[in-house]
Amino acid sequence: MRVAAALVIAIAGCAPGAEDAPAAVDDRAGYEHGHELVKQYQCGQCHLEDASQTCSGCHRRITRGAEAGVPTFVGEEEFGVTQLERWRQDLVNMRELPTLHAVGKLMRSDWIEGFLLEPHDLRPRLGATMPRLAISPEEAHDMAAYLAAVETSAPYFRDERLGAWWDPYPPLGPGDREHGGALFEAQGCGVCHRFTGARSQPPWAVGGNVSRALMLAPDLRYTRDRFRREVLVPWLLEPTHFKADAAMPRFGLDYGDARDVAAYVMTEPLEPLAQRAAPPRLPPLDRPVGFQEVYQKVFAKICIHCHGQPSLAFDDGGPGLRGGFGFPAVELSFVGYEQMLAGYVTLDGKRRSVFAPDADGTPHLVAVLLARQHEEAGDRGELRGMPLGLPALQPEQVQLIETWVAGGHPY
Amino acid sequence: MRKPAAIVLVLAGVLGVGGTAHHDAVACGALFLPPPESPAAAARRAESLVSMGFFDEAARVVAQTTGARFRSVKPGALDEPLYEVLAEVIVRSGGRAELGEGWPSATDYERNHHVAWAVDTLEAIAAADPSPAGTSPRTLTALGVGLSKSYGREAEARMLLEALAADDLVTNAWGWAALARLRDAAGERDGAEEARRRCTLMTVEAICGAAARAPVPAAPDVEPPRIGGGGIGS
Repeated sequence: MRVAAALVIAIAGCAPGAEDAPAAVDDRAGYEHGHELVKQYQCGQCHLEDASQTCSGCHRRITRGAEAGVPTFVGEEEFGVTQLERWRQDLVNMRELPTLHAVGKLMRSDWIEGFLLEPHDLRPRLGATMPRLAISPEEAHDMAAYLAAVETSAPYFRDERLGAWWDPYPPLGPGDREHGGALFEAQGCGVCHRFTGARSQPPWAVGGNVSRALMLAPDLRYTRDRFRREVLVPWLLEPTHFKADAAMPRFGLDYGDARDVAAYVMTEPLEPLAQRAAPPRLPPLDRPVGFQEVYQKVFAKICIHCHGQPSLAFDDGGPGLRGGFGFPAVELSFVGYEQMLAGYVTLDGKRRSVFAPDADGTPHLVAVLLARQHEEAGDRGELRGMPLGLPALQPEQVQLIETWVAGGHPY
Repeated sequence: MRKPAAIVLVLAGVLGVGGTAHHDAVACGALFLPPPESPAAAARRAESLVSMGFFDEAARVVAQTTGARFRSVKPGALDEPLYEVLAEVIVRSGGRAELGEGWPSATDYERNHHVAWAVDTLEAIAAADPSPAGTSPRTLTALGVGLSKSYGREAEARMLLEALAADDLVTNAWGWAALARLRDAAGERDGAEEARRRCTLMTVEAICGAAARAPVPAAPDVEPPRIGGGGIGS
């Protein structure tokens, strides 16, 4: 890490006046603090796919366990092949997740900082999004400083011609935006990428087998704020030189074409984001709903991952039970009826029923589910929505739970 | 699916008597020997059985896993969830569950003795709970049920269960049934009916009506103990 930090300082120092030079990490304490915070907030749960005891590692083993070179899923002994196969069929979210490899080479520190504080849907196909963590601005600054200092060294180019082109801080010339836009369309960039707000919205592939590249493709609307400007052209030319596991393919562009595409992505005028509405809240069903139905359709599929299935979460019950992602333990378990009725621990250390009404009278369990729907629509209230970092429940799923709660939450 | 059939299937699943052998089972000639179940897995299975009211089966799971170890309560062993499950079995069944050899439950004396052991155990678990929010409502509900079945401790039970009920944290039907009985005994008919209503929402067991109206426990008889060496709590 010290080498990486030194390199950042060195690179920044060699490029006076560079428009988007990464901030020099002159705050050693902040850098170290950022490193600790990255561990404390368990960024690796989602961004370290080769670690076994993480959300992403577990899901990767479930989905790709049969592939050569991927270790057998550790739970196979306990759960059995049939169970694993069922998971493989059911698993929707977090099949693919972006790693943090080379984040410092590619991303702007100020964008990372802002994204940690105000996460939004960056990868439209991914389902999972960066969760709303309880990070203070100071912590976000230090975490961003740390992440921006990871792997910032200049890439090694096997292609001498490309190496000769490499300039750490080339001015991003005006390029030919119109030509870049035409190339963008001709190369089929829109098959994977959305470019929200661009005048000519590229056709976005729907359906079919969604590949890793499609899942991880970011909305290019954010690229101008997110990417270090000086690396965009080289990235377009040779993605894997920056990031060994890059899902972005190499298109064989020449330098001029890459610069034109970069000009299009970075300077294309964008319409303001359209206001989105949260889905409608459906009235309660006119039939009784019992716990078993809610459990099978919602709790057992989603909630127990974080709330209290020790055998699924490496014997700690998950972050929603024992604490994690920087949150203290709330001791809320969805593994069974009685466990759930035991409620949760509030931030001020008191036990509270999940059915207790919030200030507006909405039962807390329902309120957090609705809050997640509103978060997805861009409306971030004080209440943190659940499921954290995962797609909001469908209106019909919320309706089912509301009906169950309104009926006295029977077994 | 009709209810009896469904119950049989659920029970078969929880008891692990399905048609497929565990894939780690060891073949020994024609005999398949399943690997020993971990205490945590046994506790989860026993918990499921308890929640469904299959007390004897739950007790058997605990007995198979712990052997004779649960005959003596040692503070250091209280973090084992099996103890709590066993205490749950005892308080919910009023000490009637078939606990196995060394745990006779034919007489009131023996049953009361079991309940007393369970209450002691639950109190020790509650005291050892590291949660900043205090003891889990599940433990407290079980303790409330146990106290309600302990002679002379009904007032404690009432206080405990009322506090849980006020926060909607009574975690099972047995807790509401005990509260209904205690409110009945205090002549609070409306409150008792409300507790019975909450009870019936939580279970199909016939514990909310007749059992909830059962009289408060009588003073323990003075029958000499039938429990031999190594009995509960010895």
